[in-house]
Amino acid sequence: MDDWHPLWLSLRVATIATLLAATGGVATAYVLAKGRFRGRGLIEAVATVPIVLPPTVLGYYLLTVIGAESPIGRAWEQVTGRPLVFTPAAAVVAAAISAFPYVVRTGRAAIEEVDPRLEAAVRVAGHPEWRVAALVTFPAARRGLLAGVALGFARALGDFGATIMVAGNIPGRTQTLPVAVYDAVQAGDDSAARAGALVLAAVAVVVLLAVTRLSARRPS
Amino acid sequence: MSGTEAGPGPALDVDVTTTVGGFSVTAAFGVGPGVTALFGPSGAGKSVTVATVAGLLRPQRGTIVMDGEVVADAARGLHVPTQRRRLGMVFQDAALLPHRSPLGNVALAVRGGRRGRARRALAARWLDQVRAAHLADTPTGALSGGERQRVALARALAGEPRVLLLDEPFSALDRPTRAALRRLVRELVDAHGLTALLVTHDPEDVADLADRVVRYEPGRTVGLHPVAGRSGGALARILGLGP
Repeated sequence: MDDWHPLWLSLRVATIATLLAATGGVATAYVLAKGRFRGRGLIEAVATVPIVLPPTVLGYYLLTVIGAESPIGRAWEQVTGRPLVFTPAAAVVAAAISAFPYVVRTGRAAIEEVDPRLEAAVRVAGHPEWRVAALVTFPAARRGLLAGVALGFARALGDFGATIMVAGNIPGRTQTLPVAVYDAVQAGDDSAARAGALVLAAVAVVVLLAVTRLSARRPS
Repeated sequence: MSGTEAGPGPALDVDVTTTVGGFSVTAAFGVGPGVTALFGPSGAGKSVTVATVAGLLRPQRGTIVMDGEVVADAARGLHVPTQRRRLGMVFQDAALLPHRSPLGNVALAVRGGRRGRARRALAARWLDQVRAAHLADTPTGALSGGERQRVALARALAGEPRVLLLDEPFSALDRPTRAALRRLVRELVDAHGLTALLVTHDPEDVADLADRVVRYEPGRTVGLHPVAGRSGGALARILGLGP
């Protein structure tokens, strides 16, 4: 594979998307794990829906939310002077939305597994809830949270359907590695397809190995 | 079984019903400084009472008055958060934060706005009081059960609590370690004039450590009795163990 652009773009997009998904996802996981309020089930369903929706359907809804005619799309264009769709930024949005449920679900399970007595001990010592989270909950759940973020990164890096719907397939601009593999197959460029597929498969295996290790070890 | 026993130091008046998962526990007692054992079979609701006093559970009925301050009043919807009740608590398994050293665990609870070195110096003094100064930087995972409970005790005391809550702190320990820790708790309660609640189902804890005992039957308290000066047989009858 001579053209490295899809790989670098994919890594950049997946990294930024993972940072966004991790920030929002860990906060959502905490609220879902600790909160007792009406509408919690609905938030959970909405947070999880990107896992079960066909990626093209997810992309379609994203297009309606961030498209040129949508409020978000118009606001973006006013600020940046360019539409959001069919840009690398749109690829970031698609990847972040795809990664989000993995961070939320894995993170929520990790937070719920934290021994409530550890949290109670810090509460009794007089610390407010945000300090309880910072001193106990997040450090104790860190392996599960990291596993969720790693899964989210793998998902962000591999996204195809939603990305092609909102960012398109513009070589040298929005063509990520999964899209480039699809393009190479369509063009009969077997060696490029094989190289791209190998890179994506290798990243997936490495991430899964890391997740397995993170999940297997007890917090220390 | 009402009214607070006379004496200086913090008093604790409890008259509450707490429901957890469909199981209701009604507790009514008033105690002063010294060790009050909450004694009864496992599942009777002793720990539910302690969690309610700690503010970790909300009572469905009744009030808790701590050192003259109403910290819970179900009728008025009053619930002072755990953080503001000024308590110390020791759990059965110590509940030390695994990613902090023993000194770091104790420093976490040191009262007041002190920072950094001053906080750690005070924490070291509390560790010294429970004769665990040498364990300050030992990884918590390497501590024995008795050592963990000493550190947990130092952490509970470092907050200069109005009420010390001991939720089966000895039940995971061997006999010699239990005896040593009971002596230590007695010494610290006397030295600091503490009001302590001790959850236990071991009559030996009551006989060796408690000044008075609140007996539990499943779901409710059934009596408050002084312990001092009673013979083994008399104590067994109070605890519902004798003929």
